[in-house]
Amino acid sequence: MLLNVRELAEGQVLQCDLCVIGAGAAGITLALRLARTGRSVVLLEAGGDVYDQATQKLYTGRESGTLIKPDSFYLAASRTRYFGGSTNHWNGWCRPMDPETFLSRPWVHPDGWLLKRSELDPYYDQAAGFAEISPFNYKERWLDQPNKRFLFNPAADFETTFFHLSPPTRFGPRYRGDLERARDVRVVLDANVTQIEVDADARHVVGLEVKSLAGRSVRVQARGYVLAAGGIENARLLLASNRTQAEGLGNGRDLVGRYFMDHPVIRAGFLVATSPQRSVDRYTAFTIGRREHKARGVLRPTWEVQQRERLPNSLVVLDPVAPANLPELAREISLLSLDMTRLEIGSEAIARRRVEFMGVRVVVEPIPDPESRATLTDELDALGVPRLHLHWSLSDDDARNLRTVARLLARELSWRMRGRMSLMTTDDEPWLRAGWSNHHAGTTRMHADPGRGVVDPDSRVHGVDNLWIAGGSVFPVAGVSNPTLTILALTLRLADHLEERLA
Amino acid sequence: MSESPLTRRRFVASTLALAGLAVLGPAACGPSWDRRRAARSLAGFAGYAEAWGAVGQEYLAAYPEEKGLGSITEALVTDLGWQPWEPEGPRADEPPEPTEGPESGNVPESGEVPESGEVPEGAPVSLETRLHDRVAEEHRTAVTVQVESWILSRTEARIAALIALLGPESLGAPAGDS
Ligand SMILES: Cc1cc2nc3c(=O)[nH]c(=O)nc-3n(C[C@H](O)[C@H](O)[C@H](O)COP(=O)(O)OP(=O)(O)OC[C@H]3O[C@@H](n4cnc5c(N)ncnc54)[C@H](O)[C@@H]3O)c2cc1C
Repeated sequence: MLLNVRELAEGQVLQCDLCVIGAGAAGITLALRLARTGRSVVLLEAGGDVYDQATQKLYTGRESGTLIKPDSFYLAASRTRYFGGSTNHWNGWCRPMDPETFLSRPWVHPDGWLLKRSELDPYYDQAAGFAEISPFNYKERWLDQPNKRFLFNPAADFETTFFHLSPPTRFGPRYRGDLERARDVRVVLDANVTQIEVDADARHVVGLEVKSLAGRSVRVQARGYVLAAGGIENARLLLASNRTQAEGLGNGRDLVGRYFMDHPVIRAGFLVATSPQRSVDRYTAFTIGRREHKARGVLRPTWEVQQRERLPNSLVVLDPVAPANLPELAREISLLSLDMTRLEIGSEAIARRRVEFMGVRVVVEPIPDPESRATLTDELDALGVPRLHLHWSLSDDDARNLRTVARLLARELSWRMRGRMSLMTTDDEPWLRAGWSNHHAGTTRMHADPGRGVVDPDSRVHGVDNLWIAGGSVFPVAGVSNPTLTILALTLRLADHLEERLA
Repeated sequence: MSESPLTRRRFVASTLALAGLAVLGPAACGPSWDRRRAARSLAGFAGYAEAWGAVGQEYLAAYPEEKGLGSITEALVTDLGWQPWEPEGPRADEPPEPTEGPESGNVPESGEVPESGEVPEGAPVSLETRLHDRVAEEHRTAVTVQVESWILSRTEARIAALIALLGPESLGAPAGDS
């Protein structure tokens, strides 16, 4: 059932087994997954069916850092506050976290994930269904031709790996009908949670204060609550729920809001691939399988290289480039490279000239930093909730990691005579041509030890017995994959847990 | 991940690397030789001489210390462990045994050429093979320069400079289409 707060009476109390805060990728998936289990679910969504400026403005705040500046509008522009959440404008790139993300890598952060990748694998398969991509079983025939269309063979320092591309699924419109039909689910729009209310010793959530911009207030009471308001807003709601615990809910150890992460990305330069056959086709979108799914190849340094170079994970995305945008000498270098490739493989094999130019983008896993953090300001939004100050700093190590990956790629391409690379990154201005990815993570990190994490391995807020969190905010390290598929997988894992807990 | 098995080029690269240590400055201590002629030999493999020449101009402008044809040729001769007064080995695309070139659409990964292309130990190594192996090794070990924004091995940049100094038009018709 789909409702709007204005259809409820002022002060009305909604009762249910589980209340989910936020109808984005995580919230919608959780509600749909639990819909078939006989539990009554209320899914509260701050926005309406469509974009509305006044609602979106509730997301604005102060911001600072290496890439984001006071006028970047990062807080307002990197997420969307209406039914479907940020999937209303996501790009749909999906990829599981690489297995090493789950390990302890001292050069990234001593804490790995508390889970193993194999524990998430079955959930990744289910998640693929929600994101409308084909499962990541890596059995597709197009992968059986390692030398055919890829830049490097498996012995190289870089390997080709794939994103599956969601249509992209707009979770709101796509699953609206399913939610309307689900007998045990009530979706309430224009329902902004402004306070998570707890008992006297802040160990149990007793209800939610919910307001609409039109001035209506209602309450929700449930046996369990899941905060799924997005990677930044999850922290904001915990910090703002401070009527009982002054430092904010679940924030006894001053961890809520810390370790904010996004993926820095840099336009590192260009490459020219020279080989006897096309070698970059697979790095732009291509169709797989019978159901017209799409995938796109990217490169990444192998796990061996990451260990050798003490690098976090990273991805190299290749983009088609218009001739007008190529750097000086591009044509000449391509011919020089062709001559060298000819020497490599013998002149006959390269009689047909193959020269392919691509832009090179490098995305790197950020090093978790407790000083990158969301804190409350004194300024209140239209509903009386304190606005955030988000500070996201990147270190010299982050900058060095980006440059190292670009240099390693240039090296690999050149010494294997697959082409040449133009590098635009400079030591003097490391963040020139850099940007962010809209992938919010880390602000309610997962760790078994309450001194090191906000949620436990079941995603439950430490010290609060009926409050769980879904979303990128629980990632202890960000990995390098775009987050949504993992958010969905973790949410589906949480659903299994809740099904038991609420039995 | 392990490297692919020893191939002809890798074999040559490794012996070259060792030889490079042993043979210090063949240009300095060998018999007299014609630097201009050697320069033309070094430049001779370039199919797209004009393109190399343009790159060479930029390199010379960016690295003014790389001045004369003679000194660049000497540096190359030394780095390549090449003795311009000695007969050349077979050209890279003329293997000693007749071999089938890699089939179109089934080209092996770089460095892997058909086994039949193996060069017996001690056989003379062609200038082109030396050049290829040296350039690959320089890229692998970051003996590189940046020309405009492009990363080139020092040797390939110097070859480009030679071509610029010789005048690409003097090197004859390009080997391939342009
Ligand atoms: C331009 C762009 C491109 C992207 N591309 C990709 C991509 O290609 N691949 C990828 O993996 N990810 C991508 N992302 C990120 C992706 O959109 C998010 O990872 C994903 O949407 C997060 O899901 P979520 O449910 O945690 O949060 P959201 O989708 O943001 O949903 C949170 C929901 O909570 C609601 N809410 C917030 N506060 C409250 C409150 N107080 N009360 C009630 N409800 C509340 C919001 O209105 C929203 O509907 C992209 C993001 C952007 C902005």
